[in-house]
Amino acid sequence: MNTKETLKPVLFMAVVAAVFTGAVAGVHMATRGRVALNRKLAETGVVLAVLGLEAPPAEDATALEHFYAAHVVKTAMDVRLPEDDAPNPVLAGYDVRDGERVLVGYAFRVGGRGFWDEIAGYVSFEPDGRTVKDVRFFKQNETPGLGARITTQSFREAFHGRVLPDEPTDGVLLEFVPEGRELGPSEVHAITGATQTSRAVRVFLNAYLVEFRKAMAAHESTALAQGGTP
Amino acid sequence: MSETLRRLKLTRGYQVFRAGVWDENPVFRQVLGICSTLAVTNLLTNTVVMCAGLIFVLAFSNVTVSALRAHVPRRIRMIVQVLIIAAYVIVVKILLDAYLPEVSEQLGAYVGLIITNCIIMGRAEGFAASNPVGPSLVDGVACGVGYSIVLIAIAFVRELTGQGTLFGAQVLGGWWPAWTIMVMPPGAFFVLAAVIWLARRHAGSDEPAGKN
Repeated sequence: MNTKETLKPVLFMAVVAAVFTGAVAGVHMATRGRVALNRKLAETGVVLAVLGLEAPPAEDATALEHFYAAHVVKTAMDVRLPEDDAPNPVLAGYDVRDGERVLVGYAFRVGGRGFWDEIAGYVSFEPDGRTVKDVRFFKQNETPGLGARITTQSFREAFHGRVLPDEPTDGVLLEFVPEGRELGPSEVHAITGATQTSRAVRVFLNAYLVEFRKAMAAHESTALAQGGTP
Repeated sequence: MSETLRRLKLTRGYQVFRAGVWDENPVFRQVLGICSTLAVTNLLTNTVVMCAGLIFVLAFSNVTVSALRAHVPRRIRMIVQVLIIAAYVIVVKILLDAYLPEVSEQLGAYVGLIITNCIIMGRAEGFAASNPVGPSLVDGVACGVGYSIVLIAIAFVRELTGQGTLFGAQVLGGWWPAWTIMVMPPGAFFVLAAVIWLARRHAGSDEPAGKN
C-alpha cells in the first residue's frame, strides 16, 4: 500500500468531518438563542402558573420576563438538598390588588430521579407557608398514560389545600395514598399503575417539603423577633 | 387514465417507492426499526414527530451518501455514512429544541437514537451507496413513509385503547376502562405482531412454502 492510498481515506474523512461538523455548528449557532429562551420561558411560565399569577402568553417573551420580574422575587430562604448542584431559593409571588402588592404565595423548585428519567417541577404554598397551593411538573419522561399523569389536572388537584403537619413522620409531611381513598388533610393520591413514579415523587417532594418547613420556621421566628408578623 | 397509471407503474420512481412503502416495508417485511416502534408509539403526537424526523434523516442521508458514493474510499464508507446520519439527526434534535420544545422534551433520548435505527444505515448501505441521487431520495422517503404508516397505525390503537385519547384529546368517554397494558411495552408487542400478521396476510407471504 503506497502513501497515497493510505492518506486518501484519512484526508477524505477529515474533510467530511469538518464539513458536517461545521454544518451542525452553524445550525446550533443559528438556533441557540431560541433554544435558551425556550428553556427559560418554560420554567418562567411554570413558576407564574404554580403561583396562580395570570401571565401574558409565552409567545411574548419580553412581556413575560417583565411580568415575572415585577411579580416574583427571591426570598432569603433556600431549600437546597445535599445532592443539588446549585442554590434553590424560595420564591415569593406578589399580585397587585387595589394598587397594593399582596403576597400570594411561595414557590420553589423540586425534582429528582423518576422511574425513567429526571423529574422537575415547582410546588407552591399559600402565604401561611403550610397550605399547598399547587404543584406543576415541567420536565418528565415517565410512561405516557401512567407516570406521566403527574402533569394532569386530576393529579394536581389532590394537592390543592393540603396542609402540612407541624412535624414530619419518618421524613414524610405529605403522604401518598391509593386513588379513590378519601384524603386526610396532609394526604394526596398516588397514581394507580405508576407505583414507581408515585414513590419517586413522594421521596423527593417530601425531602424538599421538610427543608421548606425548616426554612419557613426560621423565617417566622426571625420576623417575630424583629417585632413584625411572620 | 388507466394508460397513464400503467406507464407510471413502469417508472423506476414508482417501483422504488412501492418497494419502500409496501413490498419491502422496513417494519412488517424486514422487521427493522423495532426499538423505536415499541418505544414511541404510546402517543400519536410523539409518533408523528418521530416519523417526520426519521423521514428527514432517511431522505437526506440517502441523498448525501448517494452523491458522495463515487468519491468515498471503500474502506471507510461505513464510518462516513454514520457521520452523515449523525449530523442530520443532531440537526433534527436542534430544530425540535428550537421550534417544538415540548415534544422534544417528551421524546427525550429517542430522537438521538434515530442514529442507531437500522433502517437508515440499511438504506444508505443497501441502496444509496450504489444508486443515483434521484432514486435514493425516493427510496429514503418511501422507506420513511412505510415505517411511518406502521408506527402511526400502532400508535392509533395504543393511545386509543390505552388512554381513550387521540393526539391527547379525549375521544372515548369515562365509560372506557383504559387498557393500561396498551401503553406499556407489552402492548406494543401485541399490536406490532397483529399489524405484521394483518399486513402479511393481506400481501401474501414471500417465503417459499414447505421450507424451514
